[in-house]
Amino acid sequence: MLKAEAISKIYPMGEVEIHALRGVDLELESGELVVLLGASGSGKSTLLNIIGGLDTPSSGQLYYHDHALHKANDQQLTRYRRDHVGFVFQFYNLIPSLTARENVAMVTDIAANPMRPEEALERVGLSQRLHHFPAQLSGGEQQRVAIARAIAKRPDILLCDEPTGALDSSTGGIVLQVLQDINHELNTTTAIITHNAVIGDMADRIIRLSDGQIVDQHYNSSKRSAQELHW
Amino acid sequence: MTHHLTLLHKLGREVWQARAQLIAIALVVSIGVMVLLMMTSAKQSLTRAQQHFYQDYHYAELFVELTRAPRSLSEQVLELPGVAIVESRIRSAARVELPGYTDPIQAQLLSIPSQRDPLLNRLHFSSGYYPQTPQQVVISKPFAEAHQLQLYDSVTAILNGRRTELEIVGIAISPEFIYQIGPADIMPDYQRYGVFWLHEEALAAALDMDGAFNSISLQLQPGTDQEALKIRLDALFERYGGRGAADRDEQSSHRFLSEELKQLGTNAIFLPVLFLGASAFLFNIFMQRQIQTQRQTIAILKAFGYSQKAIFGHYLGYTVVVIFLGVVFGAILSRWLAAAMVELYSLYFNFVTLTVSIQWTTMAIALLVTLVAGFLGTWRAIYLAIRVPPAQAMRPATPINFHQSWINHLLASPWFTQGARIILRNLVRHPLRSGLTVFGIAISGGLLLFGSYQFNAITTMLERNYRVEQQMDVIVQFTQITDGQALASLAALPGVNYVEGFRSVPVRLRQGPQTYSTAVTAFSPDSQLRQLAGLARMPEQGIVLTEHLANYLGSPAGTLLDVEFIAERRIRTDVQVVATSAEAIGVGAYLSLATLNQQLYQSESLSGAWLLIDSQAKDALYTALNEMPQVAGYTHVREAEAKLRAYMDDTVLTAMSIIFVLAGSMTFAMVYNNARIALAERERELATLRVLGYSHTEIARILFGELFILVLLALPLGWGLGVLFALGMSHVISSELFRIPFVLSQQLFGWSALGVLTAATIAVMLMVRRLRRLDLIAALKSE
Repeated sequence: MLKAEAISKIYPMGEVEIHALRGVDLELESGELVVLLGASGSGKSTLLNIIGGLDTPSSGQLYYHDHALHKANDQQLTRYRRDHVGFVFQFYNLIPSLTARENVAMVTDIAANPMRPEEALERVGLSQRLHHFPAQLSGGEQQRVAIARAIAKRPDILLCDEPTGALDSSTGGIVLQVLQDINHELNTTTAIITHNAVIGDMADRIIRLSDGQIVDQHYNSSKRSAQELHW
Repeated sequence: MTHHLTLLHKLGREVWQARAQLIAIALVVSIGVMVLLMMTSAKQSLTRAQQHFYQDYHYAELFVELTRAPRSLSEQVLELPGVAIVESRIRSAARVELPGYTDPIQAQLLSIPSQRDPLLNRLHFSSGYYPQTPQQVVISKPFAEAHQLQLYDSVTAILNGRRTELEIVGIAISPEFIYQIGPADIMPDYQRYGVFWLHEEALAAALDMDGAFNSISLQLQPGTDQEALKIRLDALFERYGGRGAADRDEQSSHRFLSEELKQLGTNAIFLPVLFLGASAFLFNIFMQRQIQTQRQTIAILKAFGYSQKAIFGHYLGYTVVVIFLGVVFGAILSRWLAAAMVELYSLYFNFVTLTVSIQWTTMAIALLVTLVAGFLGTWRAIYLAIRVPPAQAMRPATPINFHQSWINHLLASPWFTQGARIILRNLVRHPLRSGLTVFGIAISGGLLLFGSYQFNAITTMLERNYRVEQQMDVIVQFTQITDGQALASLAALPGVNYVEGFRSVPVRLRQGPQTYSTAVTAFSPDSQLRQLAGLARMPEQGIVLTEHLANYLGSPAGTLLDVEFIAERRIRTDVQVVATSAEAIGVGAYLSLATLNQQLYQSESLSGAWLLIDSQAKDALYTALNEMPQVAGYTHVREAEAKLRAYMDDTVLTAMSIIFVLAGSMTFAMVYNNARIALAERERELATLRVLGYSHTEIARILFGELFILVLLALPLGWGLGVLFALGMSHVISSELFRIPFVLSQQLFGWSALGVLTAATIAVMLMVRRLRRLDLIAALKSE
C-alpha cells in the first residue's frame, strides 16, 4: 500500500550538507505493525516524516497506492495527511485550549468518515476524561488522547514517533497496548519509531536504521503483547 | 567583564532575530519622540524669537489710545511711579492705493519721532532707514513682499481725505506686529492690510495734531504694579479721550502669538504621552514573550552564577537598544519636521530671526521620558522571570493551564467549532493582554477618527460661518458715521441686489478683573444677512456675546456687563447680557441697532453696510466703491473664507494629516506585534493542526481569528475614544481665532474603521508569509 524506492534526503545545514537518508527502499503492507529502530541521527524520524507527508524526499520515489507522493505539492500533501495518515508524537502536541473531546473533534470535524470523538476516547480508555483540558491530564493520558485523535479519522496509516519517549515504563506499556489493540481491531497499518529495542518485540516486522540506511529487517516470529514488555 | 561581553553578543544576535518586531516598536517610540521634540523645539524657537524681538526692539508693556493730548503730557506720564520709558506718537488709519491693484488697501499709520529714533517699539529693517522727511515712509515687510514693493517705490496714502504720495525708504518689521492683522480681521491679509511708519510731521500736519499725540507706549521699571499704574493712567487720560491703559494681552499680535504658544505646549504633552504609552505597552508584550521563551536560558545563567542584576540589565538591553533607535530616528525626523513647522509659522508670524535648533536639554528630556516609558513597560516581566529559582525554571514549562470555568462551559456548547473554541479560550486566557491590545488598537482608531473629525469639523465651521451666519457677499466700511441715506446710494451701485446697514463701535468690556477690547456690531433684528449662531433672532434689548467671550469674561446670559462704548463720546454703562452665541470663528458682541442708538443717545447711525451682489458685476462695483469718498474700505466675504481655509489647511490640517499617518502606523505596529507573538506562542499548535491535515487557510483563520476579534472589539472602543478626543479637542483648541465645533458624522466612524482595518490587513498579510514558512517538523520536535 505504501512503497518507497531509493529515498534520499539531504538537508543543507549552512555550508555543509547532511545526508539524513541514503537510498532507503521500504514497503508497508496493509494492517502490519512495523517498528523502526535506530539511534538518534539514524534517519528514522526523517523517514517517518517523509512517509507521513510532512516532508518530501530529495530523490527517490514514494507511492501511496498509485499516488506519487514524491511529486506532490503542499496542497496534495495536506490532503494526504488529512485523509489517510494519523500521527502520534513524543510530546503529544495537544492543543492546550481544547478539552480531550475537543482535541479529537479537531480531527473528526475535517475527516471524511470519522468515528465519534467519544468512541475514539473510549478505545483508549479515556471515556471518563472527555471534558478535561490537557493540563488536567497525566502524561500517559495526554498521549492516549493524542492516539485517540490520530485514530478517530480511521487512518490507513498510523505513524508514531517515539510515542513512549516521554513516559515511564508502565505508562509506556499502557500506551503501546492501546496502539497494538487498535492495529488489531481496526487493521490500521502502524509504524512506530523508537530507539528502544524492546518495543520491537510487539511488531510484525522490525526494521533497523543506521546512518540513513536500512541495515537490517526481519519478521518477528515471536510477537508479544505490549503489556509483557518491560524496560 | 568577559561574561558581560558574552551577554552582549547574545543580546546583539537576539535583537537582530527579533528586528522586525523591535523596529515596529522603535517606530512608535520614534513617533512619540518626534512629536515631543518637534512641538517642544518649535515652541522654544518661537518663544526665544519672541523674547529676543521684544527685548532687543523694546516692545512696550503698556499702551494708551486717546483722542488727543498735548505732548507735554508725556512728561507727566514719565513721572508716574514705575514708568521707565515713555514714547508718544500719532496713530491713524488710512486707505492706500497702489498702481495696478484695484482692491481696497487699509493701512495702519504710525508716527516716528522727527529728530531721533524711537525709544520703544523700534523697527527691524530688512532694508532702508527711518523716514527723515514728511514724504518718506517705512512699510511693513509682509506688505512689501505681498506687493513686491522695493525701496524708493512710491505709494499713495489718503491722509484725511488728501491723496499723498510717499516714497518708501525702509522695509521693516516691528515687535508690535509680529502677527500683522487688520483691526477687524482674524487672519492676516498682507495684500489688503499693511503698517506704515511716517515722519511725525507728516501725520501731525495731515491729522491736525501739531504738538499733540493720540497714542502712547510705556516701558515699566521691574516690579511695577501694573494694575495700580493703569488706574493712574486712566485717570490722567480721562479728559483726553483715553480709552484705558491696555497691556500686551490686549494687543492682537501678542495675544495670537501667546495662544499659539499655549496650544503648542498642550500638544507637546498630549501626543507624546499617547505614543510613548503605546510603546510601553508594546515593550511589555514583547518582553513577556521573549522571557517566556528564555525561561531555561535565564535558569542556566543563574545556575552559572550570573547575578540577578546582570540578567536584569541584559534583558533591559532590548529596551535600551529600541529606545536608542527610536530616539535617534525620532530626532532626525523631528529636526526636519520642526524646521518645516517653523517655516510654516514664519508665514504667519514675522520675527527678526526664527531658527530652529533642538536643545540638548530637550533631547535629554525626550530620552529620559522614553526610557521611563520603556522601563515601565518591561521591568515587571523581567523581574518576575529572574525571581524564579533556577531549578524551577529549568523544568519544562507546564502546559498552559486551561481549566473548567463558566466561560469554558459556555464554549463547550456544540454551537462553537473547535477553531472558534481555540480562539475564544485563548482570548479569555490572557484577559490583560487581550484587553491592552484592544485598548492600544482603540487608541489608534480613536486618533484616526479624531483626525478625520478635524477635517469634517473645519468644513462645518466654515460652512456655518459663511453660509448661515454671514450671508452677505461684501462688507463696506464708511469713513464716518452716516445715516440711512448712504444705503440708498450703495443700493444704486452696479450689481448691488440688496443692502443692509450696521454699526460697529469699539468697546471695552469689563467684568470683575477681566477686561476685553473688541467692537460691538449692531444690526437690525430683522436682518436677512446676519444671523447669530444658535439664536433665532437678535434680541431687541440687551447685549449678545460670543460664547467664548462670555466664558472669558465670566459673564453668562443674565449678568450685567460693564460696557464702555468708545464712540464720538465715551459712554460707560451696564448692559445686560441677554444671550450667548455659539459662533465658531472670531469673537464679538452684538446689539440691536435701536439699543445701540439709545445707549449712545443718537438717532439712526451706521458705520457700514452689508451687500448682496451679482458676482458678474463685481469689478464694476469695486470701481464704483473706490470712487465713493464715504467708503473707507470693503471686504469680499468669499475671499476672507478662502484665506481662513488656507490657514486651516496650513496649520490644523497639516498637523492632523501627520496624526492620521501616525495613528495608522501605530495600529500596524500593534496588530503586527500581536500577530508575531501569537504565532510564536502558537507555532507548535498550528504545526500540529497542519500535520493533522488542516490547510494553510484553515490555520490562518484560527491564528488571525483572534486578532480579528480583538480588532472588532477595538473598533467601537476606538470610536468612543475618538469622540472623547474630539470633545477634548473642541475644548482645548478654543482660541479667539476659532473654536472647532463638536460635530460628528457617520463618515468619521467609517474612516476610523477603514484605517484600522487597512493597517491590520497589511500586518496580517506580512504574517501570512511567515505562516506559510512554518517548519512543521521543527515546531513539533521542540519541547
